[in-house]
Amino acid sequence: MSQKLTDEEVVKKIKKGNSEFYGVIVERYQAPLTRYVRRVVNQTEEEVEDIVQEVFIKGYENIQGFEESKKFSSWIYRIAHNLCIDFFRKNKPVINISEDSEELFESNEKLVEELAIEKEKKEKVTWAVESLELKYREVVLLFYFEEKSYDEIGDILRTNTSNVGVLLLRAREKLKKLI
Amino acid sequence: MKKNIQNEILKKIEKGEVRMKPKWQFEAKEKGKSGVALGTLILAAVGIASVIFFIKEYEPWTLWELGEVGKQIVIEDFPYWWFVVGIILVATFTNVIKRVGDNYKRTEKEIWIITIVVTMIITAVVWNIRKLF
Repeated sequence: MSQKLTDEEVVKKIKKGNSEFYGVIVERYQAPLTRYVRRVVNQTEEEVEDIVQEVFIKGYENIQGFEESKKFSSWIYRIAHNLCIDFFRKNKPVINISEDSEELFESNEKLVEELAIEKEKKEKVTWAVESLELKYREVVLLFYFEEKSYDEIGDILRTNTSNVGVLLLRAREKLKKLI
Repeated sequence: MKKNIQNEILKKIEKGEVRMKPKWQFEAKEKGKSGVALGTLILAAVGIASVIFFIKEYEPWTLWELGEVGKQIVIEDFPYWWFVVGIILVATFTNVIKRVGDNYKRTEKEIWIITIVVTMIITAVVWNIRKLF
């Protein structure tokens, strides 16, 4: 039954003291947040898992601060964003091409040659995205990979939508140059 | 080894290792930010009012025409500190106000318009309060 509830309705129940509903939140967001954190920090699986776990812990601790009139997904992504920033403050990033970006590009039955070209393209795109500065990388990841709207990105990065547009435009220009 | 995050977190919640912060903490934080913003602007208004007071009382342009002595009076008596403090506090206000509520959605231009309008209103209030004493 809890699967039918919206995130905001689940949060309402958690706020009222039904902590067991937090499992629903973790279940819904574990995969997307892991994917997002992995792409932002570009670290080992263990480090990514630690950050994601911390996101959920911080999420639970601060859940009373969430306003139900807003989108929960933006709120939890904001926590993930903050923890990624903290991670960068504490550690130096290690460049490591992630295999996860494969999911992004759906490939039907293609010739081996086409697949090889496709693979090369994917690697180039992944490398280019990972080479971007954090502020550009995040906006690209949120818009193209996580399919968030300008409004949601604004809520996550705590900036206005026109700034999101500017960041995205600059990121695209940088990506063009890199690719 | 892959962790079962869901179980680990639910266990921590059950054991009381992870606890929800009370709602009042968030409300107090938000009100605190608004309070700090308002406080900075009131102080800034006092600074601006002192500069206006100096201009009104000294009429520096007439003193300037008096020659060296007049110029010296203007240079020595100008409330530099209040002027600098006023500017710093107005800038601080714009920084704090961006962090209050949904203000991050506003553009830089909108924030500055709000700052200027509110500063003018508070300065007018401070100016009129001064007249009472």
